[in-house]
Amino acid sequence: MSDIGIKISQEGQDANTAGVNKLLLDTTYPLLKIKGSGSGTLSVSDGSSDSDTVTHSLGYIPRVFVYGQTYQLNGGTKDSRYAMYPYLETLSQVYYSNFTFRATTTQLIIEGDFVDGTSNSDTFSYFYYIFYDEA
Amino acid sequence: MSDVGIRISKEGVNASNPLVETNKKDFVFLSDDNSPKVIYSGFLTAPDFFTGVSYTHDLGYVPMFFLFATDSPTSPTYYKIVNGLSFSTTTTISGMLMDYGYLIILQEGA
Repeated sequence: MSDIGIKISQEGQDANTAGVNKLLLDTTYPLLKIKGSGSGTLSVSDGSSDSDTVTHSLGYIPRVFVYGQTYQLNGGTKDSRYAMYPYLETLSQVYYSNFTFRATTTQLIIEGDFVDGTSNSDTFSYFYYIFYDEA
Repeated sequence: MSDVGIRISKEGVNASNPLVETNKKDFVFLSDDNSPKVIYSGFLTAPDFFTGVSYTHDLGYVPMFFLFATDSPTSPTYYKIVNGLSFSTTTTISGMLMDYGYLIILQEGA
């Protein structure tokens, strides 16, 4: 580990001796670096999935966070609140709600799918952040 | 891009290397790019297990957040991720089926 870097401690703490939980910045540990962010919607119906693709072209699998709306099997309705994807809910080993994502070396694919025998359909909003840091 | 800033590379990487999209992962810190900022972190206590915890952030947008269920707000022995049980609106973050939670909210969101 290198001896060169930056430490900024909380007020009243000695940056040379403070534990990492008392440091506001410690470059001993990599900080996530944001490559980009965006938002979109998935149009999903009972038994019919939807997906969006974001091209990042980094050549390696980056760290990604995706948050979005989900479909609640309990009640059979869209939940307008945002959950962290992946979100998976199952019922009776027949019905499921699955809002997820996968990252490859070139793309981020965000997918939504549910099956509950209702013929419901809705639009689900999401947002994502892609980082330069490897997954 | 500004010529003034800070670049700290990972060990074994020359910080003076020209910066391109595919080598930014080799840096610990780059003032060229934005990093997530923690605007809140702390323990939450639920009125009861089934109601779960909630926190009013009033940001006016949905932030990135991480909510962990835990067993104590003072001396926790575990942190458990609860993806399917935690949600955010533009004002509130909530997590069901937990007595205590540890919440981290980032400034970034949508």
